Amino acid sequence: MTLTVRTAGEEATRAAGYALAEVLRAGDTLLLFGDLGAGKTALVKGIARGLGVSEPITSPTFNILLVHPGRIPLYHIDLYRLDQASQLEDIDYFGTLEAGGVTAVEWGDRFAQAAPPDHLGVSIAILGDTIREITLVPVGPRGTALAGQWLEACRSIPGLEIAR
Amino acid sequence: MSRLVLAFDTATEQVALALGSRDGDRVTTLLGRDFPAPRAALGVLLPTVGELLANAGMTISALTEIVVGRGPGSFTGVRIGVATAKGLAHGAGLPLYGVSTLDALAWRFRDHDGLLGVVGDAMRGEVYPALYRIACGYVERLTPEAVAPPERIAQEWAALDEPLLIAGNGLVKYADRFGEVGRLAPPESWSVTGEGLLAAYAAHLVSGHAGSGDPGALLPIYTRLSDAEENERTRAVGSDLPDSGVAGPGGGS
Repeated sequence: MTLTVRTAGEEATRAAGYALAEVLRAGDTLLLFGDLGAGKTALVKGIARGLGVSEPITSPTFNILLVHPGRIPLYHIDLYRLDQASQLEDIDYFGTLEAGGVTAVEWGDRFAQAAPPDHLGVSIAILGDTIREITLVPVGPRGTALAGQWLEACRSIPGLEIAR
Repeated sequence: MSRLVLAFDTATEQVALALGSRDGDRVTTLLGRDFPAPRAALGVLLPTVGELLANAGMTISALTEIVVGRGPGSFTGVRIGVATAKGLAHGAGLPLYGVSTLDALAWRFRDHDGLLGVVGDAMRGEVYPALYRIACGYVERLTPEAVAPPERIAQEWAALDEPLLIAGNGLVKYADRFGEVGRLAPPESWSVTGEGLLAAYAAHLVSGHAGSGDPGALLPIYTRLSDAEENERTRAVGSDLPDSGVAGPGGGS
C-alpha cells in the first residue's frame, strides 16, 4: 500500500506537518528521508508548530539532537553527520526514542539500526521547483494507524493532493 | 573517626542520593534524597548534592569519599552520573568507588529472605536482569551483568524451583510477563535509592571488592555492545560457535 501526498510548496509541506502533529502521540517516531532541499525540515517546522513549540526550528545538522519543549516534547534528530551505527549509542538515540516525546529523525534511513520496530517513514521527493511528493511508509501497527490518520487530516488542507 | 560518604546514581529516571557516615566497613545513612527526574538529571544532580550537604550542615570539604552507581541504565543517565562523580572526585581530591545500579536496588530488599530477581529497563525491548540470594540481611549476587529479551529471562526464572520476588524499573513495561513468574514487589520499591547505594558499597567494603578508589580507573557499566562491536566480535570469533553464543553482552566493566 502506497500513500502519497503532493504538496504545492514549502507552505503546504508545513501545513501537512501541522496536520500530522494533531494526530501524534508521545512515543511516536518519524523517520524522514529525502534529498537536501526536499523539505524535511519544513515538515518538522509544521509539526513543531502543531505541537505547540514556540522556539524556532532549524535543521540539527551540527547539533545532531535538538530538544524542543511543547505540548509533547519534540526530539529533532539529524543523522547526516554520523559515520557509523555505533554512534547511535553515543547520542543515546534509543533512549531518546523512548523518552516520552515525538522523535523526528532526518536522514532516518542512514542506518538500518535506526528504525525502531514501529514507526512512520516519510519520504519526500522533489518533483519540481516547489512541488514535492510525500510518500508514507508505515511500519508496525502504530505507524500504520498514524499514516491513515494523517492522510485523513490532510484532506481539508488546500494545496495538498492525496493519492492512495 | 568516622568518614563522610556521598553516594549518587542517575543511571535510571530516578535520581538517588545519600550522605552516609562510615566506620570501618559499617556505613550508616545520614540523609537521603530519591526522586524521579526523567531526562533532567544533568540539571538537578549537583544542586541536589549542594542541598544535601547544606541540610547536613556540611560542605564538600567534609567528604572523605564518593560512591557512584555505574549502571546499567540509560546511556545518557549512566554518563551523567559517572562523569559528575569523576569530576567531583578529581576536583576535591577524593577517592571514588562504584557500585552496580542493580545491586543498589537489590540492597533495598535486604530484609527479604530468599531469591530476588531485578529487571532494569534496557530499552529497545530488552531488560538488564540480575538474580540475588538474600539471607540474614546479606544480598548475594548470582548472575553477571547482561542484557536480554524479557521473554527469555521470564522463562529462565519460571524454571527456578523456588519462590521469587521481583523488582526493578523494567516492570513498568513488563509487569504482566514477570507477574506470572514470581511475586512483584510494590511499584514504589522498583527504583534505586541512595540508601541502597550505601548498602551495596558497604558490602563491597566487607568483601574487599570496593576497588582502588582511583577516579580515573572507574568504568561505567553499559552492558550492551554496540551493533558494530557485536559484528566485530562475530567476525573475531569465527564460525566455530553457534550464533547464540557469539554476540552476547560483555562483562561491561
